[in-house]
Parts: sequence; C-alpha cells; structure tokens
Amino acid sequence: MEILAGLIQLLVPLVIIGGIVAAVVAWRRRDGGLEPETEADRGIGTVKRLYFYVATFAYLMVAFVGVVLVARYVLDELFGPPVLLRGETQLALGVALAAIWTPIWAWHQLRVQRFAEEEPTERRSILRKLYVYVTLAVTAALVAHASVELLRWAFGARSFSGYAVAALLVWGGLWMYHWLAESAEGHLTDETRTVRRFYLYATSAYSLTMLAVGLSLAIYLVLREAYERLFSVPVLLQWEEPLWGDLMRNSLSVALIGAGLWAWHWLYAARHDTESSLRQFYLYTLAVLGGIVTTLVATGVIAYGVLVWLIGVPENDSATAHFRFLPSALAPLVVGLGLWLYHWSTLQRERAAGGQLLVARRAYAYIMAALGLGALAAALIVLVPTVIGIGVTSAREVLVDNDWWRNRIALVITLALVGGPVWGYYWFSMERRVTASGPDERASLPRRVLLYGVLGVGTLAVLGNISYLLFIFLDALLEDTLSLTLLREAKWAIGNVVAAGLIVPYYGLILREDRRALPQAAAQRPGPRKPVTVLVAEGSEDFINQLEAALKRKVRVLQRADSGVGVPDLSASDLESLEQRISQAAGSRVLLVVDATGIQVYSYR
Amino acid sequence: MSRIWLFGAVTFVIALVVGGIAVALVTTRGGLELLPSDSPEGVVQRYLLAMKDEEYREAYGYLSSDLQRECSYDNFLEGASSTEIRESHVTLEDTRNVDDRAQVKVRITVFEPGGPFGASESSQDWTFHLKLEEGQWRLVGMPEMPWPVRWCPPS
Repeated sequence: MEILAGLIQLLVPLVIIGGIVAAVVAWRRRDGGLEPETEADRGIGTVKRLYFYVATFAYLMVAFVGVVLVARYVLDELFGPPVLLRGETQLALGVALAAIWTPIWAWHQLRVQRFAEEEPTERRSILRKLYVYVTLAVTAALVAHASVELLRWAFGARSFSGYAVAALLVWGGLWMYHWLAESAEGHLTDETRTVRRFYLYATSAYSLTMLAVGLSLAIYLVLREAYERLFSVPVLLQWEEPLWGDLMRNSLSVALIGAGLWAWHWLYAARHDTESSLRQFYLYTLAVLGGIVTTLVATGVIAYGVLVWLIGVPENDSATAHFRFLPSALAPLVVGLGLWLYHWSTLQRERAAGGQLLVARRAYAYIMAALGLGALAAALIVLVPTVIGIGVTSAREVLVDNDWWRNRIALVITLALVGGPVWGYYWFSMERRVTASGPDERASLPRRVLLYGVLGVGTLAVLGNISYLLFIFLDALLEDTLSLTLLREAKWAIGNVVAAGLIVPYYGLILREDRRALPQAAAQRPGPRKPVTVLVAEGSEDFINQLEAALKRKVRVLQRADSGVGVPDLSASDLESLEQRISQAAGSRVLLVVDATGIQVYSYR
Repeated sequence: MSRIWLFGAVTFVIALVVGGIAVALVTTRGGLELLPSDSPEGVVQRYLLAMKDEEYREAYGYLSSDLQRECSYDNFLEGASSTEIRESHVTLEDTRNVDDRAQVKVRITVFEPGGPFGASESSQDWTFHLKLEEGQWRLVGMPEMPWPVRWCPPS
C-alpha cells in the first residue's frame, strides 16, 4: 500500500510536468510560434518523446537519490563523528532505490542517446532540450547546496557530513556529464535556445542572490566589528569570535559558492548571449531592480536614522549607541550599489552594441514607478494622522509625551525623500515616452497593469476606509458618544482615504487619456501578423530573402517537387500588393504557391 | 563517449551498493562500538541503546538519583513508551566536563522514508546533562527529561 502511495506521489508531479510541457508545445504551435512538424522533423514522435524524456528524468532522480543515500552512509561510517545510536533506514532505502531504479534509468538513457544518433532531428527537439536543462537546473541546485555544506565543514562551522561529499560527487558528476554532452550536441534552434536561456538566467539569478546575501552578512560582521572598535562600544558578552565565528563562516560559504555558480553561468556560459530578450528581462527586472531596491531600502534606513537623530527622539542619548544600526544598513547598501552599477553598466554596454528591448525597459520603469508611488502613498498615510494628532489633542494616542510626532515626521520625510524622486523620475520619463512614441506605449501591458492596479487598490482603500469611518461615526452617534476623541480611531482611515483620494483621480485621468488616444491608434494599426508558408521551387533562396525583407517576417518554406516551375520577378509594387493580399486574406494562416507566372495566395485556419 | 560514461556510472552505482552493504555488514556485525562506560558519552550511548532495545529498566538506571526521585519508574515508563527512537541516527558532536558535571552534545537525525520522492529527514542538536554520582556519570534533567523521553507524566 505504501509502495502504491509512493508511486502515485511520483507520478503526480511527472504528469503535471508532462502536461505543462505538452500544453506549452501545443500553444506555441497553435500560435504559430512553432512550425508544425513535417514527417522529416517528427523524429521519434511527440508521445514517445514525452514518455522517454519525462521517464528518464524521473528515474535518474530516484536512482541517484538512492546512490547519494548509500554513498553518504559509507562516508559517514568511514569519516563521520562517533555514532552513539545507529539508524540503518537510509542505507536500506538507498540500496533499494539504487538497485531497482538504476538499471531502468540506464536503459532509458541508452535509448534516449540512440534516438539522437539515429534521428538527427531529435537533437533539435524542444522536449529533449527541456529534459537536459531541467536536469542541469536541478543538479546545479543540489550541487550548490552540497557545496555550501562542504565549505561550512572546511571552514569549521559544522561537523563532517557524508551527505555533502556524496551529493557533490554524485550530482556534480551528473551535472558535468549533461553539460558536456549538451555542449557537444549543440543544434540549438530559437525555441531550444530559449530553454537554455531560462536555465542560465534562473541559475544566475539564485546564485547572484546567494552571493549578495552572503557577502552582505560578511560585510556587516566586518563593519560591526570596525564600528565597535572605532567608537569603543563596550561589549559585555561576545558569543563567538566576531570575524571568524560561525556566522562569518556560513556567510562566506554561501557567498563563495554563489560567486562560483554565478561566475560560471553568467560570466562564462552566457557571455555571448547579448542579443537575448530574456537576458534583458533578467538584467532589468531582476538584477538592476534588485540592486536598486536594496540600495533604496538601505538608504531609507540610514536617512531615517539620521533624521531621528536630528529632529526626532532617539532611543539612546549617545550618538555611538544610536548609530549602531549603521553597519546593518551600510552592508546591503554597498552590495546593492555594486549590483546596480555592475548590471546597469552591462545593460548600457549591451544596449549600445545590440539595441534595447523596450518591453523589458518598460516593465522595469513601471515597476520602479509603482515602488516610488507606494513609498509616497505610505508617506501620506503616515502624515495625515500625524497632522490630525498635532492639531487635535484628543486624537492622539493615550500616554504619549509632547514629542510623539517627531519620529513620525522623520518617517514621512524619509518615505518622501526615497519615494518622490524614484516615482518622479520613472513615471515622468515614461510619460515623455508616451508623448514621443504614442499608442504602443499607452497600450503596453506594464502601463495598464500599473494604472488598473493603482485604481483597483486605491478604490478598495477608499471604499473600505469610508465604510469603517461611517461605521464608527454612526456607532458613536447612536451610543451618544460623539466627540473629537473619535478621531483617535478614525485618523488612520482618514490618512488612507486622503492618500487614495489624491492618487486615484490622477491615475484615473491618465487612464481616460489613454483610452481616448487608443481607439484612433487601433484603427491605424495593421491587423495581426499571419504565419506565412511558401511553396516554392528548390534553390530559390534569393527570392525567399526578398520576400522576407518585404514582409518583415520569417516565412516557412516548403520545397516543390515539380521541376522547372521557376519564380517570378517581383517589383516593389508587387510586394506591396502581396502584403495587402496577405493581410486581407480571410484565414489566420497563409500559403503562398510560387511559380514563374506569379504568386497564388491561399488562406486557411 | 556517452556510452562509456553510462557504463561507468552504472559500474559506480553497483560498486557503491555492494560497498555500502559490505560496510554495513562489517560495522553492524560486531554491534556498535561502545564508548567507555565511565565516560559521560559512554553513559549517554548506553542509555540510548537501552531505550532503543526497550530495556526501560536499564535506561532508568542511567538517570541520576534526583531525577529518579522526581520521576518514578512508572511515570518514566509511560513517557518512554510513547517515544519513537528506531529511525534515529545519533552522532556525538562534543563533550564538555567541568568538575563533577558534564555536557554531551549530540546530533539526532531522524530519517523517514515515504516513497521515492517522499523521504524526509530532519536533524536537531540535543545536549545531555550529566553529573557524577558515586563515581558514575548519571543523566540529570527536569523540567525536561533526557531525549527521547523529554517529559515525565505527572503521577
């Protein structure tokens, strides 16, 4: 019964993965992004392919989990700490998994290799590449985890663990094999190159996060030590060696492994991939955005601390004690700034060389504008109740001293100082772009998400808070307790209403402008591009190039078996009229039949 | 090239499985290597082995007299019978002696197989506290009993 439950557990994720892959392939094919398979392209067939790659991946994982368990047991017995009480469960499970599943995996792996040798088109299969890169991604993550554990042991932060060595050897070996085999195989198409890019940039993203977090903690420990030494902060109890304690060793382990993984994937493997859209998305929406957000949050923390010292009520009278937060804010500031500057300069360099992907830049700018707007809204939400409290004594919280408002004002100034410039810079730069570029910018998805998001959240905030205000007002009225003290409960709701009341109308007007401008633009915009297939005589590459240049898109070519059909000479007006015939054709796809007399246009669904 | 790799991988797995079984047979045939009975870690080990073999009377004997006074054998038995120690793997991490007191730090790893993808494992560190009573190291506790009992049900 348990075995059956285990198998069901195993099958469910596989069915889900298989379903997702099949859905993506079907969707891309229906959308025209993937060409329908010809007999020659079909290789071993989709269903067989789906089974073999999903099964090979699953059997590989199960078999090598068993191998790791056995290797770990052996290593722990040979090199591990003294055993007080031995548990053999992991060895029993490891042997069972490795012995049963390894032969099945090896047979499938052999078949998969044979497919690629016997059917050259198999090497271009998107499912094959998905299998390879999912395997690489999973094994790379397991290698990263094992390497961190091993380095922690090498640094003396933990006792020996057979798991770390076993996992590093086993998953590292599998990763290396798949990487080398894939490098030798090559045969990347546009689709399979995208699969490779997903792997490269996903791995780059989490390894960069490991590097940033580990480095930030290590810098924090150094700065904290420097601060305490520099300002002679009395330390009564130190729970570990400050510069080489467990925390430093763990942080450096994470940072070093993250750095190695990132250097391999980003600096080495992805170094020539500068024309990739996914790379620009990674740069704008993960690396640069992550760097900026980290920098801004750290700057905000420092600004707030300084403002509290200058105009607020600090908890400590001595500057040394008050500014003890500085190391914990400076460390992420340094790392965030480094991330931002490095990735921004990379973007500028690659933009100069290969052009800019507007979609990525747009998404990045609107996310930044949204973050800035959020900070501004928070400033307003804090400001309004603070002003009410200053003006109306009974609206204040009970048992507060006369300086209660000072830290609140420091917070408002901080939020405004951080949020204002960010929102102003990014929002108005996008507004200028709308003016310059017109309808495409207005209709862009990130802009619409921002506008509808602000309107949705703002409207909810207004309605929710007005309901609350009405409730407490009516409640007090009916209970005959209506007084200015009611403001103590109402002031935060009023703050929300005021913030939403200022922001929502502005974005409502912007949305109305966009709506007015868009119908005119929609009328001028050409219809959706139809996938074009051309049935043409062999050796007509020049004709195809001319056609693709005129239509500004790639066409799918089928070669005619008839001999001597030729191709027509097309003038500029012929090409223009052809483009019109294609766009006016009733079907969603078009077949062009070409011979010396001209081009016949047939449309189909 | 890839076939050679595959052959190598399968050979490695076979060698490892055979090696693992061999290591297991060698290390388990003579039973667990017992640490000296007059050391704190040796007492902890004997207490754990007694608990594993459900020799609760023997395990109770490793508790200090104070602890035995506070937790009667019947209550200890009630707490011990509800513990699960069979799937546990316990390794010695550190021992500290200060005069007639000692601390033995161990790592307890519990491995729970639940199907090919469902196996889970958790580790925790636990420190046993001992004191010297008439030349013998004995476990102390309360309010928390020594693992795996942890809790002495009230009379």
